[in-house]
Amino acid sequence: MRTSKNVYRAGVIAAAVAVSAASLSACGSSSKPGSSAAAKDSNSTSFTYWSMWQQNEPQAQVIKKAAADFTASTGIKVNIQWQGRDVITKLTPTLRTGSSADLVDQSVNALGALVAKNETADLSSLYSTTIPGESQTVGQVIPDSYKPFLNDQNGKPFIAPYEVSSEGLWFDASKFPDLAANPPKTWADLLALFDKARGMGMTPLAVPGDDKYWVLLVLQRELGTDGLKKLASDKTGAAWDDPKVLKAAQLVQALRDKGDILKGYESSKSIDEEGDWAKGQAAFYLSGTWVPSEAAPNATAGFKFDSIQLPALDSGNTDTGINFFGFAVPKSAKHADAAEKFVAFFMKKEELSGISTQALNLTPRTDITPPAQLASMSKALTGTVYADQAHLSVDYADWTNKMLNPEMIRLITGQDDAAKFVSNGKQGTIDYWKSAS
Amino acid sequence: MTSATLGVRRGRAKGSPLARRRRRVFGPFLAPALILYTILFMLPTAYSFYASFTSWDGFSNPRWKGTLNYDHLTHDPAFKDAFFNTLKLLFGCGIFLFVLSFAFMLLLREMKGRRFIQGFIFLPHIVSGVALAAFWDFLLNHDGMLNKGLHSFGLGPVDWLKPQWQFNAILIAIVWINTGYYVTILMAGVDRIPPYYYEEAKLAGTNSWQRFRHITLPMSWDVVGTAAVLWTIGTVKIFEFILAFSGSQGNLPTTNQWTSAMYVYGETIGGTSPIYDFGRACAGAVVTLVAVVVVVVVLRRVTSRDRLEL
Repeated sequence: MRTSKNVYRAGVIAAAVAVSAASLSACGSSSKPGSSAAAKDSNSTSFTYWSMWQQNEPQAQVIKKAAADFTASTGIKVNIQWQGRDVITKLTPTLRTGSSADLVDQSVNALGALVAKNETADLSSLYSTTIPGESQTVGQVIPDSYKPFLNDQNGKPFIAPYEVSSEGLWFDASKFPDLAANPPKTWADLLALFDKARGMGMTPLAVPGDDKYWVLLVLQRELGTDGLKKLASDKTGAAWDDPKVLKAAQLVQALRDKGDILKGYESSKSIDEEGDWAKGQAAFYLSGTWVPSEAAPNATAGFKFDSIQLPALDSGNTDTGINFFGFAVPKSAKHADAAEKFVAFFMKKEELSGISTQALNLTPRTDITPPAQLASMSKALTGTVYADQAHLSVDYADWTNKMLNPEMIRLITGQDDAAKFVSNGKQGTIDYWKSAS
Repeated sequence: MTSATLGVRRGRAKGSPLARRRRRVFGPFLAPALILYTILFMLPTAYSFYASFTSWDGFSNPRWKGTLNYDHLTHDPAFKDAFFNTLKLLFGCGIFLFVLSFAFMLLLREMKGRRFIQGFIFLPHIVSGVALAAFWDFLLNHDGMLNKGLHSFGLGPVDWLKPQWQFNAILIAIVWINTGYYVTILMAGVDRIPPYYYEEAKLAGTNSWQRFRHITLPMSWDVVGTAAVLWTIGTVKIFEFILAFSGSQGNLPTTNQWTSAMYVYGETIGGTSPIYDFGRACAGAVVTLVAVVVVVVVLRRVTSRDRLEL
């Protein structure tokens, strides 16, 4: 009896360990180190492209058409696999034995981990390749102001961008027809604009409960991009003592205190607030380039999407944040030659225009007309640009996830006031670096 | 006598020709599963133990760093959140879940149409966590069904999902999802108790509580123990509901809503800019595994009784 009970108990414990181990084994890997310096072909007749898009997305349609045109023109076959947004995490395990894909695409942020590990190919030769049927090279159609953000740690380009994104304060231009031409120049102007919206019977702002843009972008305007970065990099936490940090936090807190934000926002997600804004419940919504295409189905009749940038604050900085989606070639790709030929082909005005006309997004080429709803955003991006969110989510990803994002949410949802935000931010940064070292 | 006994023993050891032949095929039948299990689970698990002492991004060669990952965990507020949230799920949810499951079980036992109601409360368990998360959000958000219901009584709205309450909403949802499953397990245990025990107890003039205390509970104790072990293991794996409920647009939930499984995800491939710190994630998983083993051993000791032989 006793023995059978022990066996039974041992069995249950073994089962417990085994099942828990299943979650552990997600960490493990049985891959063996292989030769990552795979033999490279110079006359490949096909290549494999792992895409960040799903097959039914408009970007996928544009790329599919380009791939068909490319095959018709060069005879090189494109094997496309629609991997979705986690394409890079799927690619990563294959890099040990030679990349499974010859070409991938994602944002600069998502590609950051590959770049940090020196796993992306230097695209300098692609940049100097002339685009088929045109007179300019790939590098020449990409504005020079974008280029510092497209380089790896060795100063070489690692991404060929085909889509550009940014953030702005979105509004319905049918209600504010002159706003894009005369955006607020100061914070007081912005607040006056919010008062005007209230006078028109609208709550000024829709803000999701997990919003990170308001605090981050106001901090950027107060501190400048380098100052914002210092909040993460200064291990002593002293950067948080700058009175401008407190001032930025107070400006955000005041929006909440004044009741400028739609009621109940603390418990909402971006998709809820975007919908409420598009239905006309709020006048303004701070978010990214994707808003017009995402919110269109909810928009009231006659809604005209347009955007402005936040006004200058103490730093005087009025730069526009920029993010890129583009192609990268894994260093161990076997058919990099064919992949690069395709990228040059895709950068043709004729092909790339689809990103603007079909996918309703911005392209890096200034000779492609942006979609009407992104015209103001496109204009803002012709000025000085900075790496979106000061590149914090790449250079200090762990700090951003664990320290900054939760604190920003606590401030915007009123769990903490501005002073608490600053003291928590300072202490959190000190603690973070202590534990990270 | 002695040699005769030995003879019998020897005879038993060899068994009948059929038993011997059966034994011979055990190996070949067991081997494929054992090999697969070793390759897919045991080796990666062993490797995870090793990786927890290294700095490893998942694709370069791991570099040995001793116990630094474990030191880091003791200072990492995100891991503390994740670990304590897992304990909240395990014990907070667990106690509530078992009390509720017992209550349902007792109620349903005597009820007509109990199979239908049992099926109804079991339903959330078979629906995908992502769909349940969407439903939970639809129910509780500011413009959700619950607030609409309150509004019709002239009440509310209440911010059910405000950040301070959001993890509590998750805890309640987890109880809701799992109750039906544990009611079913407990019911199976209670159903095998012969009815004449209850009949006799009734004749002796006992009330319901006394019957529960002196018949139902002791006679289903081993089932309760097994259910508690299953629950312990289950809590470590609670993941997709939280990600779908609290994360948005590829972003991770804030760290105050992380659990151990979310920590492993957040330190490796989760979020829009993954961190790929597999070494630290493995250390977190090892600590959780050790904690689970301790809880399971303690649970087995506490619930250890002679099994009911009927």
